[in-house]
Amino acid sequence: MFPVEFEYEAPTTVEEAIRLLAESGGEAKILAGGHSLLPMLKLRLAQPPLVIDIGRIAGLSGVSEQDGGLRIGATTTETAIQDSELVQRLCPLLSETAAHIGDQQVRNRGTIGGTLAHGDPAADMTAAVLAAGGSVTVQGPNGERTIPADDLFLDMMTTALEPDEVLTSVWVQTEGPRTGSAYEKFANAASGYAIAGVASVITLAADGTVARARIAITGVGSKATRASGVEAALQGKRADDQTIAAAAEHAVEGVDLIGDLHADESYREHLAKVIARRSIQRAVGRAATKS
Amino acid sequence: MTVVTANKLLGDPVDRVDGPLKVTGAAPYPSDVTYPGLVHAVLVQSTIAAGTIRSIDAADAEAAPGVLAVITHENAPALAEGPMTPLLGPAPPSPLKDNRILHHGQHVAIVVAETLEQATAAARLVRIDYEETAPVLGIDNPEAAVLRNPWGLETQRGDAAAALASAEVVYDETFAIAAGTNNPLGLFATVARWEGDRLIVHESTQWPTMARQTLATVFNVPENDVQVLVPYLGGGFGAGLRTWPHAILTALAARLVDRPVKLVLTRPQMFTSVGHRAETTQRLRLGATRAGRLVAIDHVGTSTLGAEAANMEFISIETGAAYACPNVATHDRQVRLNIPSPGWMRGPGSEGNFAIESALDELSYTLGIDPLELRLRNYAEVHPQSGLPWSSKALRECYRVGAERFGWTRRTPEIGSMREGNWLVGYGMAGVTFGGAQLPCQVRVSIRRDGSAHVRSAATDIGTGTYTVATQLAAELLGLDIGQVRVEIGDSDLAPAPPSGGSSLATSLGGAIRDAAGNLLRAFLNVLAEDHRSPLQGRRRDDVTAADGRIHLVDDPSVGETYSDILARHELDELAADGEINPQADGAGMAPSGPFAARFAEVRIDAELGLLRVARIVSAVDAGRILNEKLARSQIIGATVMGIGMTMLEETIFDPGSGRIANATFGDYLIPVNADVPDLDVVFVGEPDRFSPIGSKGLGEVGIVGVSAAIANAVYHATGRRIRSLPITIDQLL
Repeated sequence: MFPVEFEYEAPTTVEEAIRLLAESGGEAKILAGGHSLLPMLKLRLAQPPLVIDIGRIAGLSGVSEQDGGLRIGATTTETAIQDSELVQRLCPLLSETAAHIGDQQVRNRGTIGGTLAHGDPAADMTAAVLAAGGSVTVQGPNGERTIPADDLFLDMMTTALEPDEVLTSVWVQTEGPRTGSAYEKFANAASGYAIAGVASVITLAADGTVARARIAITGVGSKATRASGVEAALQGKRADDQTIAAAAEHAVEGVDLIGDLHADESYREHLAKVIARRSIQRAVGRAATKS
Repeated sequence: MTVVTANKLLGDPVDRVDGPLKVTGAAPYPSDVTYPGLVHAVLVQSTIAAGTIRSIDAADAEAAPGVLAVITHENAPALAEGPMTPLLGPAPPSPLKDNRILHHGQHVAIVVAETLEQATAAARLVRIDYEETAPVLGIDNPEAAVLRNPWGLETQRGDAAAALASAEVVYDETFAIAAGTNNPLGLFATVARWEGDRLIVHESTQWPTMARQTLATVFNVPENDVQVLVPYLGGGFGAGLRTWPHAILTALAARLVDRPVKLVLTRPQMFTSVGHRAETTQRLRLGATRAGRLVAIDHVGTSTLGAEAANMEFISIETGAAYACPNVATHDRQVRLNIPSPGWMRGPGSEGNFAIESALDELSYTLGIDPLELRLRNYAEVHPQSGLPWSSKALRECYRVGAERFGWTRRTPEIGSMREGNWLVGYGMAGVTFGGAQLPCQVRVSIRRDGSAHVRSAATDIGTGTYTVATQLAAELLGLDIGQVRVEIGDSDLAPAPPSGGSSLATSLGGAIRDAAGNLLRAFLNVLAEDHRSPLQGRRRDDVTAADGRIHLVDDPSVGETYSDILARHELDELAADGEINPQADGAGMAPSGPFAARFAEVRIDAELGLLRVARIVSAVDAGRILNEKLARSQIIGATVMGIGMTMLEETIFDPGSGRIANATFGDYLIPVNADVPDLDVVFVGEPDRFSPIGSKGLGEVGIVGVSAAIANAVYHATGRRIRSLPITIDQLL
């Protein structure tokens, strides 16, 4: 199907993009990789009067070390994240997660800023950024602000971004010593979207107990969210299989479960628990081998 | 994935001769046909499953732009019923007979308009007031009428009841298989045109000769005044074996508006209008010795049927022939429901095979005998019912070669013993004995002065390669190049032919071509009988053979002359000869064999997630002489994919309250996609069949048979879960 007619602008600065957004009264849509927006336009789920292409704004893409973490530009593609030596070394969770997204063509175009600003409940990177203790930087008419990932996803396709704000970069914590991570996912066979996805970052204390667990879950509810019940059940415990399995039982606590033709609510819940267990097991295994 | 062809007379993997036409879009399918003045028809279908039409208000539809006619039972002329059909039984009931509704989706009106859009819009304006009654739905419905042994095809030998009662080991289980829908990719279409009392129909059919006969009977015109054309068909899988009501309605509409009329079914209409694989249940009892010899088989098959239509199908049809068991009883039951009429769908009998081959697998665990060994212990060396030798049977070879290629010996017998990470690995196998059919067929073969040969028959190519194998066969028998042979089929005016169905056509048509080619050489020799200038004067058929476009002596190839020279000298444009086969099994001293096969499947199951993946399937097939190994392999691969669909995905869901098909779209009715299809290995074994004039046995259907049992048996080996209900769904595995 064809989209309804729209205007197209390709500003070269963030400020110009924000001005265009504001002038449209928040009706315009930002175009980055386009892998969510274009299908929505074609299905006429979105009918913006103006599309603002931020692909020509210099300095919005790339990865660098900053403040004990990694700063990743909004228009950095998933492929770039997957292949980045810096990401693989300091925050391998993001690289692993990127490799799970869609297919190679999607990863070549899709961006980390786009997926986070879109807030699709079945996206992968949302869970990874939550588990990595991340945040996003957004810029609006009144300047810049930082939104912790924990506060970013409000509901299905709804984020804390104001209509006149542009997401400019993402920051994630470096995975430190004795820390391991994993992203495990049960994917829709056709689309690759997560039916249940769990990202885990586990730090073990010197005695082998769990010093810190950050677990995030996607695909099962209306938004990606921290699985705080799982985290609490792991905290301070020895991470043996029994403890992990018991903790994983909390995977959908507080989650507003969704059911659809691919998986009903009870099957999603079942999947979430299995996937959570496998994700934590792998993360723990990696933490144990990392000095 | 190499293919080993056991015997080659033909066999060369020739590319499809119609391939370029198809990939360039030049092959004319029925829905492509158009005529000056052609108008379009759209069906109106019942929205209830049972009851009567109280009234029809067609005024708005008739007044809509472009509308030429709204035809309902109130204004349609009475149509005769179609004829009894060989092989398939009574024709589907003719449409618009009265005000009764027998199933959801029954055609209750056909709207004809200048454009498709106008007809579609007007069809929505036809208002029908129904008097609804409670539909009879559900295969177990106690209110449903049950037909017992409706076709007289039940098998009785020995005393199965007594043998069961005294057997050392008794097996007794039930099986259920969901309804499935054929779903050829090509939407079925009819383009009908009357020239006075002569009817020309471009029709999605697998059987032009039958379609002509049906239309002639229904419209009460001589058969010679009906021509059915289908040079190309976008798949059939059995859906095109009947002349369905929509085709009759299109011809009726063309007569009433006196214009050529086109009707193309929509995908949802394909679910209600052209048959489907019946839902089935089975109860299977086996009696065996502890040493693994079968002593009794009692097999009850129950399938669904439309409220009034017939479907000559018997799901345990192969049970009596599969194993050397002295006591066998099979029972056939059909349950009348308010559903669209089921019909043949690729591989009737695949349902019964699922039960038998699953049961043998279960027995193998009970007795502690390897599943393959158990089958060999019950191998039917002769046809078990007649005691006659098979015309060919290489099932043992199928087992041996298939097991070797698959690596069956790597299987460890304990359940769940082959694990890779989260994946439980299972190996399963199944044997296949499938029915064979050769049917009467006629053909005319001619050679023109330019040296080209023409093969003409009312056969069809439904995508399987009839054009190609007929070309190969004629070229070989007449000593011509592939490029010198032109095959004309898909026209009911040509010599009568059986359907592209029942795995019968290639062998039947091939036999007729062989006969015609021999007759044609005789015709050439007759021309030369008094020709002193010919080196072949006075020679008999046995003295000569053909090669390189010429007839020559068998003993001395240098003595001979070309077809062209003979025709030119005698001032003939062409010489033609007819050929036919009329297979007679009685008195042949052998049991005509169908194809045999052994299927080996490896599955991987993530038991915690309920995830089932088929990792690979090896198919070893005995189909006699392979006419074209490339096409043969494609047939087996395509059917195997369909078997994966039947086993893991496909289910036509009838809403239990309304009788409406709840998933009549490709979005909701799941068919396998590339991600569902693993490495498929195909190997052909065996010898040319003795009963077939060209040594071949049909392989259009055998490829789907046995897939379900092989997969389900592998699932058991991996998980210990015995699945006796298809499709295998996540909830059965969790």
